[in-house]
Amino acid sequence: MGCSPSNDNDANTHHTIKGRDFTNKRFPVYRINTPNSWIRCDPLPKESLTDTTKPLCEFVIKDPHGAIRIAIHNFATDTIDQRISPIAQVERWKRQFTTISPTDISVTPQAFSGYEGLYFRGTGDLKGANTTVLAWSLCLAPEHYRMLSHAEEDMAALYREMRADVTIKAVGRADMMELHEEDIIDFARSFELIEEIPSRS
Amino acid sequence: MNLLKHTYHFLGGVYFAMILIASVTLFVIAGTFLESSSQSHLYAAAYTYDSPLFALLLWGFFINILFAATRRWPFRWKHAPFLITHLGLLMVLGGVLLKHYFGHQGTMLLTEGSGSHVIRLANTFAINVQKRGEKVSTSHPLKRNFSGRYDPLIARRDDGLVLQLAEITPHVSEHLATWAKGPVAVIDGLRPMPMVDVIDQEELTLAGRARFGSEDAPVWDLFALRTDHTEAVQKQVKKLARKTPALAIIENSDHDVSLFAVGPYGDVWTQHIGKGGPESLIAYDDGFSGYAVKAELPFDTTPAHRASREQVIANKIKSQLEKARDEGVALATPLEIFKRACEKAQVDFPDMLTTYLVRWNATGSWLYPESTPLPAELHTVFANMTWEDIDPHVATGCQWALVLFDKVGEALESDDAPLEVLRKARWPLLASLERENSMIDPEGKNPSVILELLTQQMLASAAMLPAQDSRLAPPQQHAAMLSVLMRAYGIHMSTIANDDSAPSDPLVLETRVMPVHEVLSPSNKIEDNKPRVVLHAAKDTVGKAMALAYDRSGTGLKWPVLHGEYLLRFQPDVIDIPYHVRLRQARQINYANSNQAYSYESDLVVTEMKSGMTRETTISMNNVYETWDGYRFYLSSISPSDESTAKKIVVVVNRDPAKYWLTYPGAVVLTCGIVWLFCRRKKNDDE
Repeated sequence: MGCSPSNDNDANTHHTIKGRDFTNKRFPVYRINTPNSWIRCDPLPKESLTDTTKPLCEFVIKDPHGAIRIAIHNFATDTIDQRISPIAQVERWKRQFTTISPTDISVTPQAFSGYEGLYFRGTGDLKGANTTVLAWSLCLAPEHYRMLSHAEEDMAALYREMRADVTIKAVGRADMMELHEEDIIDFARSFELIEEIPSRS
Repeated sequence: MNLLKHTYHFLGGVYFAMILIASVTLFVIAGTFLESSSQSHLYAAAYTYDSPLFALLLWGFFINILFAATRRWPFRWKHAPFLITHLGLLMVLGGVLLKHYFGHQGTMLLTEGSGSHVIRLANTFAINVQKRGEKVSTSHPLKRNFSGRYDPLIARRDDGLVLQLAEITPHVSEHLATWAKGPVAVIDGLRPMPMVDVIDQEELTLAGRARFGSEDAPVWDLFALRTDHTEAVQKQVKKLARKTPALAIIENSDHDVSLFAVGPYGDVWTQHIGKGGPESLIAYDDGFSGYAVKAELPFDTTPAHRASREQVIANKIKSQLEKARDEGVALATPLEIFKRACEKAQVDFPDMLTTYLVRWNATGSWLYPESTPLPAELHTVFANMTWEDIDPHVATGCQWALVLFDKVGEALESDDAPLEVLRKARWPLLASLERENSMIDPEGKNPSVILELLTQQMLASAAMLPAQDSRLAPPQQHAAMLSVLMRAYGIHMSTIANDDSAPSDPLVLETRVMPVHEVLSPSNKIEDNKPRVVLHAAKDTVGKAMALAYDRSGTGLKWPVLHGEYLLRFQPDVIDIPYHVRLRQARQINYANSNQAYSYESDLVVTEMKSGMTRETTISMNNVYETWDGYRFYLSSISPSDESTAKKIVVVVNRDPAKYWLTYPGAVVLTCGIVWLFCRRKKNDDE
């Protein structure tokens, strides 16, 4: 992965993020805003991203005592039935903690930029450290998914990436996460598709 | 010449101005009363502000002011304030007239993530036509002629489609007919069945029989019934379906339809389609081949032998028990008692448990009836059953529960309202039963919750009841007592079967949906009316009449015509505007620590299509976005207000083409003229 700091001149930096290499091509699919101090880490140009465990892109918030890593994944599907339900992702995130108290978990519905899903916030023991996870599991609204299911051949690969489920997951030391929580929420909620989703006339 | 001069002076004179002012006053009074009495702005507007007479009055004002100014000819310097005032008035009136003829107001519906440059013009009628293979649809407005009637010819398109208006009805109600279509019930692939009014709930008329799936699949009894006592009829169908699976299509007088099925093993399944229509539809070929509603019944259509079914459940029970043993999980009390009895009788516990559950389920009773004979092996098991190892009150509770259900069980199981039965029987713990039931089943739709709570109550209060000796009980009584305990623990064939995975080859039924209209008398509140048009669509030698109800939002279903070559929808007229608007996010902002809305906001990206220039903006309740050429974007509504799904907003788009170069400058000129007039008069007075 190659990392580079965001543009120092802007209060907010606008990033475009490419999808996965489904047909050996990676198209810019998503757009997101970050504060200028965040460091962006992209996969190397020759690295294949067909493995969905690899993030599309990572952002790092550094301070003298540690770092917060924010990873963006997507999971493309061919039919609406293949989509992973957001609650399944949330359950998976819960299980990643070594120990976590139910009182330190909150799951709230989220809907923005045409996506709907869940926002997970949990603090607990993760690999021996008191860690907070802020994570979003997002699926396109069904009507949008249907609109993106019918595409001409030249648009099929792009539309497949556009209708993919998305996760945004920030992991870091609990005290540090508390400090940057607002920025991370703003960052996640600025996430959107670059191309507009077509609508029925 | 004299007449012309007189007319000119009259039109520019004070008398004409007074007539105009008086007429407008009458219009305003009439408009106020009409709107107040009908509660309808549209109704009032149709007779006042939107009438051609009112437009004529505006023109009258324009002419009066123009002639009043030109009457001063030749102009002198002293006329300047007067002329400027009149020029201002003419500019304002000109702006109003231009807006009246060339401005528009409509709504734009946007969903987060998508955009549009199309607005729906309020209170207009049009037929939206989409041709097969084309993504874009065309709007053909219904136009009125001089007499105020709609032109019969709506459109004659280049592709040969001719649309004609045959009839327009001011108000209809519309519902989607699904399984019940007027006099018949229809399941695709079967003959239509006549709908029968239920007169006697005890005797339901069979509409037919059908076998779904292969030849050795069970035959189903089919009912097509019309009644307002849906739940009672469903109960009766369930009773009749003890031996044969049954499927009933039940429609009530509100056209709500229930599809009610009792499977081969007594499992009940139901689908309800209410006023809002089905939750989802199948669109064949994107709607060009019509729409259907589907029901996926969780009953296998492949040969569902009882033995194989029981084997599935037995395997499931066995695997669960083995898993519990491996993991060292303790069995629930009733299972533990039964297991010990099996061990004493030296029979296989899972096999016997399955046999017992299947026999019990076949009786259809809440508890295992003592009168039902037991097969030899089960007889041996229950002969070896002892209750001494567990809390003695449990056996007492079970025995008293049998006494209770022996007295009122039949009434409880057959009545729609078991609480009423208990009230009549003066059940002493009714209050707590009601309280718990209201928490578990707030709508009171599941009578078995009451039965389960009642069973649990009997066991909970066993310590206060006189003890009975269970050792002398015959095996049948042990079987019945165990069923009490199992019910208290929620163990029954139906609960185990319901937990089972979905059948591999479920029974899938489909039926076409069609709109049904009922003509109603129109309300004075025009906004509440739903007009309907009957159209004749023709192309080449093919013609077809079809009725369409008005879709105010223009987002509903389009209906196929001419063998699916076109889709049509009756909706407001639409126009393209030169701005493309994309909705990024919409949100409701609440007061701190409350769900009360403080503000609604929407982030938009507005692109001027001609120049490609893009601007990001946020509109909110009191924050309108306005373009340089007179388009205004108001946020009208957001739904839903929470974050449960992608939000939709309605943006009101208003265009006043002359606002910046005529109306607003006119107001400034008018103000200057009035001020000058005032100052000059004051000066004259002083002199």
